[in-house]
Amino acid sequence: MVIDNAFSIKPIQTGDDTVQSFECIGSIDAHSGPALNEIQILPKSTKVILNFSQVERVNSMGLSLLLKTFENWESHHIQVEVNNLNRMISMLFKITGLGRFLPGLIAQASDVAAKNQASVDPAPPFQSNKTKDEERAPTSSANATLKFVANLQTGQQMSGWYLLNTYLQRRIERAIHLEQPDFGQEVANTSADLFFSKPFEALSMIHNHGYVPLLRPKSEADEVVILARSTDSREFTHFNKSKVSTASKNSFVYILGRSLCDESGLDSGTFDFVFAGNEIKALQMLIKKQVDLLFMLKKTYQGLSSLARSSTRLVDESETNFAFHLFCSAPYLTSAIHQSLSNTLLEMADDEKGKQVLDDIEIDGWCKPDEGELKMLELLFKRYGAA
Amino acid sequence: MGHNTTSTSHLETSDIIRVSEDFYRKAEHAIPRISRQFVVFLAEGEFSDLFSRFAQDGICRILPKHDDLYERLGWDRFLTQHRQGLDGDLHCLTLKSGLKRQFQLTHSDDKLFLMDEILAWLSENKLPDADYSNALVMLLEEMLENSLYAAPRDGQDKPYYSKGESRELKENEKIGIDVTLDEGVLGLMVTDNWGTLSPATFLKHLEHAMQEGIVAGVGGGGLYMMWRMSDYLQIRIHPHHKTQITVLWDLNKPFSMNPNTGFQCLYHSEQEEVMG
Repeated sequence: MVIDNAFSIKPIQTGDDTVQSFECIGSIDAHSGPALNEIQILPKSTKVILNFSQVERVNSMGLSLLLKTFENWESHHIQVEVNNLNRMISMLFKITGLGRFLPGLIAQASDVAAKNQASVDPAPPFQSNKTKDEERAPTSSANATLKFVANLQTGQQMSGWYLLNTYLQRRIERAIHLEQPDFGQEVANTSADLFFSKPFEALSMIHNHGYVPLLRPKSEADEVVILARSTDSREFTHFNKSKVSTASKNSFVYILGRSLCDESGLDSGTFDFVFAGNEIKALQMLIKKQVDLLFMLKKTYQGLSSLARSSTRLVDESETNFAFHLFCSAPYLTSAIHQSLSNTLLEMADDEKGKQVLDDIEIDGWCKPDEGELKMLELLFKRYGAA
Repeated sequence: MGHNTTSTSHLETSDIIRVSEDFYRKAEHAIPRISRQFVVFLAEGEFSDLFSRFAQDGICRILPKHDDLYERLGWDRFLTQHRQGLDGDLHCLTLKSGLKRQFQLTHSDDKLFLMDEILAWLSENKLPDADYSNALVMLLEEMLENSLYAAPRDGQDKPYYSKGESRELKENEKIGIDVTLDEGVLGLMVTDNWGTLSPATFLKHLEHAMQEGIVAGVGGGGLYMMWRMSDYLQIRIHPHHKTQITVLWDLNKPFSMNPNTGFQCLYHSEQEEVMG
């Protein structure tokens, strides 16, 4: 099934004045009202044949519009016959009561124009009580609950991180409360005592708020790919002054992407960046020719279907091996807590329960970030992130 | 109450009341007015004739007793859904080992792209029957239409947007899509942060569509399709906070639209919802 949203109706010559035949093409949904309106008014007592061989799908709104049309014809003694429905639509007709029109129906006319309800600016849905300017205050007492914020990688589930939270609480004998930032919320706005986050977000917290990088996952580094459209055969070095999409400006994908371009002789300062909000949206912009290049997380790229990948061309990818998620601790926590947290995390892989938790959070184990890795991150952050 | 000890010995979740179909159809005893989250109706076969009674008695958890899907995934997963898991419902109901994809919708225009991408991904992962992937994208569209146009409502229950209107999501509005595929089970979950649906409305739509079919101008057709076109439907509502709709398909049996599909509509509110 290839999804096509456009719906059209073409008349077919029958050579019989009492029979009107139409070819229906595309998908029948909320947008199909105007096309159906065009065939609402037909001579009384004629027979209508609708050929559905090119109809890919019908959604509930489309069913409702069809029903209105059929009932309209019915009231004008117009018989209708729908032919060549695909299996799914045929089943759908049967379970929704439209099957009754199929053997031969008669109808009447009413306007199927979509109702134009006045669009008002809605009150936003539920908003978190947390505000962006919530103060980052040191945990007041030695026994106060620590706030741990985990900004997870794509596709990871929270449950494993709750298990890690419990594991840490028991091992360091300190209450820890785990939170996940709201969609789009930066760790910087969460007043975390401990956090696990993306490379440059972590670095920003280290750089701007003095957080201490304790550990990083042992697993592979976060890398970035640069994509062009598959039909765009330009050499990578010919993309100066291009329009580039990526998910967010506050992301290591943006920073590593810029660095990659500059290393290849392009001047990323000449790019016109579009921050799409998420990676799939940024990908759509490339495919729809709204931009020339796309910076994307390598893991996301590898997870795309071949349909999406075949619309793109990989022009470059990072092999830095220094961009990792980081587990960091607030500067106001004692070095004893830092040490205790580090030891507990490092020893997880030697402990059966710890191994289970590592499995749940999809991390092989922890290790200390290398000084050189952090310096490289910082170098890039200062060069591009502060801009 | 209504325990069928011979064949439900595997359904030993202690804090729920299991109502057997035999017991319920005899209608000799009134169902006590306890929180609906704790009542599970175990269906022997088709049960749609009972929808109006379910609505009256506040029964929103209907599980078919003889469905292999529940045996394979484990009855406990289904019976404990009133206790909220930490992960999304789809991830609590299915095996962790499976393939998964996640997406965020930010604009109504993203819908077709995401449907295409998911369809292509499913095709590459060799589903045994194309009907399942077709059904998934059809239900995905229904769920997204719900999240985009049916769920956003004001205090008077008036929708903010017209169906099909092109719109960007508001800053605090979220629509997430999860798809999972593991051995024999295909799953889809769509989450929005409106929470405006209620079990009474849900049951009313199912009952109406079963009796009258889809009626032009009357909503709820999408919910009815979700039930008929899946092998399990779950709706979790946190009023004014979140609606999460999850469907599963059992890939070990031929695709069908039978009316015996189990569903659970879980409404998390401190006050019992007034039934329609």
